[in-house]
Amino acid sequence: MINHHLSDEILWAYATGSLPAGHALLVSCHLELCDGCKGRLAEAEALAGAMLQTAEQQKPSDDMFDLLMARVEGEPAVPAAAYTVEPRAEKGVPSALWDVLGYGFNDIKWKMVGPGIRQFILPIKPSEGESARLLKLSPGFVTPEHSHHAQR
Amino acid sequence: MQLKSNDGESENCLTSAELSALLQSLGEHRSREVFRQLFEFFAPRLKTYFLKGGATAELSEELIQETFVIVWRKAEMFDSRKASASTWIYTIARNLRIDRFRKERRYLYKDDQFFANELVGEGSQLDDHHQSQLSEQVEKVLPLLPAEQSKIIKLAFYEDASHSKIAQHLELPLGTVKSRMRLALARLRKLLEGVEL
Ligand SMILES: [Zn+2]
Repeated sequence: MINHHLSDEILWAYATGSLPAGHALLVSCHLELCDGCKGRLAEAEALAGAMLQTAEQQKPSDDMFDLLMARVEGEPAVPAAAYTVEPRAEKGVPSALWDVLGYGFNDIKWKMVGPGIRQFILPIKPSEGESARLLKLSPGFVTPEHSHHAQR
Repeated sequence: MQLKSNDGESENCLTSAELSALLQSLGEHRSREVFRQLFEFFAPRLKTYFLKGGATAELSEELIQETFVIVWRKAEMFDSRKASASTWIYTIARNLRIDRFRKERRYLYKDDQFFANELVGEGSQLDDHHQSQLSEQVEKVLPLLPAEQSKIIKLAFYEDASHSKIAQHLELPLGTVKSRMRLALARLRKLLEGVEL
């Protein structure tokens, strides 16, 4: 799958959250497998961070910090790790895909759509204007050849 | 660590290195004063970010609060070798905005993933030195981009507008938008390299 890499404009769109959902899923699967593009994403995010740092300023309400402080001080002290979940990892399943599916490739209920072609429509809501076909194709690369028994 | 005092006017000119030191310190000591300095630096900028992204004034303030609640909770996970304070806080704010406005993408943008990412060595030019200077450099080079290019870069940043939305908005063919964005990013990269010399 790593025949071509992600372009700068795709990485910028991904870093700013502006890529349509189905496309973003493909990008995040690629990123999990490609350190080169991951490094370039870090650059794009650093650029976005720098844009935030140099953004214009607009005054928030006067009491906001006090409200915020009251809120966080009222929280029980919990180690930061308790707020995070280790990304799921399973052999061969990018965690972004795992998060969408909720299970590994073996449990996918493939649908026959042509001779030797099975597809699975990902249970995500496509973004506006996005072609649904993109989503149908995305898991295709995992089973181009060998057959999965569509039992269960 | 030497903390800057809040003397009114000059308070909002912290450098990237100072911001990162503050965030790291917050993670270690959870000091209210340090938290306040980070808040005073970032809250007005985040307000612009959320407002330009289409949030109402009320929602912007709510999202700023949410951002800082997460900053407070997770500050101890901040690692200045991985990202600058601005980048770290940006990703939190971006994820919250997606969560609010782009629900269909929320499963892809989770803080956990960002924080758990290992250091990416190869392919990344972001060593410590580069990280701590980047914001100042960006400030210098962004105005050097042709207006038509920086406009496209900013539309994605502030409004998370997709390529096709930008094309519609600017009444340009999609291909033109993509190529201008590509040019702008390549140009930025060149300019940033040049400034660093
Ligand atoms: Zn790649």
